[in-house]
Amino acid sequence: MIKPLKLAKKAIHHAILIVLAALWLIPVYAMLIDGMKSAGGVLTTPILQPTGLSFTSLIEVSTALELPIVNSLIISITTAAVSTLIGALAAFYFYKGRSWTNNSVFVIIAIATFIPYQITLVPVTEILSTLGLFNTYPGLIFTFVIFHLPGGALLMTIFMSNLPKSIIESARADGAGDWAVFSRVAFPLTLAGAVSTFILTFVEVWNNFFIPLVLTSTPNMYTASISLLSYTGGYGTLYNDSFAAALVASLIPLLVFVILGRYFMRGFLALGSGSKG
Amino acid sequence: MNREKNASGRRRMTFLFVVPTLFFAAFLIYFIIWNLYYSFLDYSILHAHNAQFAGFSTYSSVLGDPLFVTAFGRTILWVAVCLAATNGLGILIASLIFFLDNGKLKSIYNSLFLYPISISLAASAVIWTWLYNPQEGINSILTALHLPAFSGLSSPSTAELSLIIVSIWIYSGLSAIFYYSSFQGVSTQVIESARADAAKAHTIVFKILLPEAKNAFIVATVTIFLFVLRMFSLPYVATGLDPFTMTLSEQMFNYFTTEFFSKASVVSIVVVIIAAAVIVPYALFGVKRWISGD
Repeated sequence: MIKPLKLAKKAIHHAILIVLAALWLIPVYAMLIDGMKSAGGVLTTPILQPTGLSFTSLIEVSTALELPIVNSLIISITTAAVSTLIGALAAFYFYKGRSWTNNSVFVIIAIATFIPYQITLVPVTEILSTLGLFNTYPGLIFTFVIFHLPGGALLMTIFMSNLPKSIIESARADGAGDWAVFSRVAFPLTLAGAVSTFILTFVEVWNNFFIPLVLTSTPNMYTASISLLSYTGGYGTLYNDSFAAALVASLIPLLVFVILGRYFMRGFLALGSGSKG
Repeated sequence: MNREKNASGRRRMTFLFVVPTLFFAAFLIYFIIWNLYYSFLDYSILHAHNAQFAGFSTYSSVLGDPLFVTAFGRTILWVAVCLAATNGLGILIASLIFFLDNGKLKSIYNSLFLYPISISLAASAVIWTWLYNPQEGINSILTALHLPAFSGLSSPSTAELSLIIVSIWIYSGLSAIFYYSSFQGVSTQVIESARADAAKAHTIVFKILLPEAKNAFIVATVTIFLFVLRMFSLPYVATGLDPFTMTLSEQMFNYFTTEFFSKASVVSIVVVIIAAAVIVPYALFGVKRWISGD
């Protein structure tokens, strides 16, 4: 027999979690029901009240955001790939030796990971303008790599430090050089960590607003998050367009989170507690 | 002899692995030095081609600018409130999840509270601007329940609070997973024996779990501190460059768009100093955990 007191406690425990979770989901709920509301529905129902389905606004916004989304994909995928691969190379260097120089370089990388990127506003604009890379893919990717590579190196170092040294030593005993040990042993064995690093960087770059705001000047270079500026909802805008735009611009990172959430969480946990689990 | 030569050659080879990273990191260092240099000039639209050394005069004009002072105070307040709330909520959420019996449910709740961090701040700003809409948003429920309406972003007195609430919604789940993962490190035996002694859940949280969660506290606090310190797109998209919600980063951008470049550099240096005061000790403290594998 279950004690009634214990049962009541259990019910309260679940109730608190359910209420908190419901509060946390309000924005997603609003995106889904309001992004698919008709203009008539917008005029007759408040935001949190659902009404009939209409895809008009979703289709309209998707068409308008098509190019920004392609831009975001190009920039985020390239930056994430470059940061993960080059970061993995650096991680191999840190992994191999524990020396005074190694540690100091590593501390610099760690500091670079966390420096607020806004501080480089003026110099980065100047450099890119001088190089003729302002408002171009290479300019944006170059800038993003500067900010995300340290994080990639830091994460890959954390993941790689989990590898037993004996594996590397036995590969070396077989006469393998550094490159062979890295490409055939160290990197393949930290593939899960590389996926975490890639995903975390991808989502961060996708969601970045400040850098494309400063470094793009024509709509054909806008990224998904920048183009949301036209949907903030001034006078005369209907809210279904705003919610549809937020939904379309967030769909890819949200899907990545839902499908590969494990890797995403592992990345944050590694950065934080150094846990490699 | 031969072997020694091989070893040093190998070491030189290994150094090549870190060169690409150092190449990009050099830019970052260059940017900071550049800012430092320009913060001592009077480079602006007024002196575009004849910027001169100005000593600390740009610093004193920025530090005396009421817009900067307000933005600075607001950012610090934002950091403080957000840290208190996200640590509190993070502990609450992590404990509630920790005491669930079902493993599947645990991971669902963990992701559910973390998802806001995968949405861009710009998208969050668009969504919450409408949720705070005086007639259409959350107020429509409050009015229906005969509760007082919340003025949200439409009133200067609540605009900042409204945005702070959004940031709490975004970062609490992150703080929760840091606490949750450190709770998991506590030996189950200790918890089981406390339970056998009929210890209450809150006693277990405060006496057993939290004392072991010092790392989670440091990590959550530092990470969220740095996120809020650079807060830009949430207030920018929600309210534009509004004197009632402007943060340090926005003030820097404000100087930049009005072409007071040296003033923007001064704000950069202020941000770097605040950030470094937190990052440097954190990185030194982190090195041991990150790479020594304990």
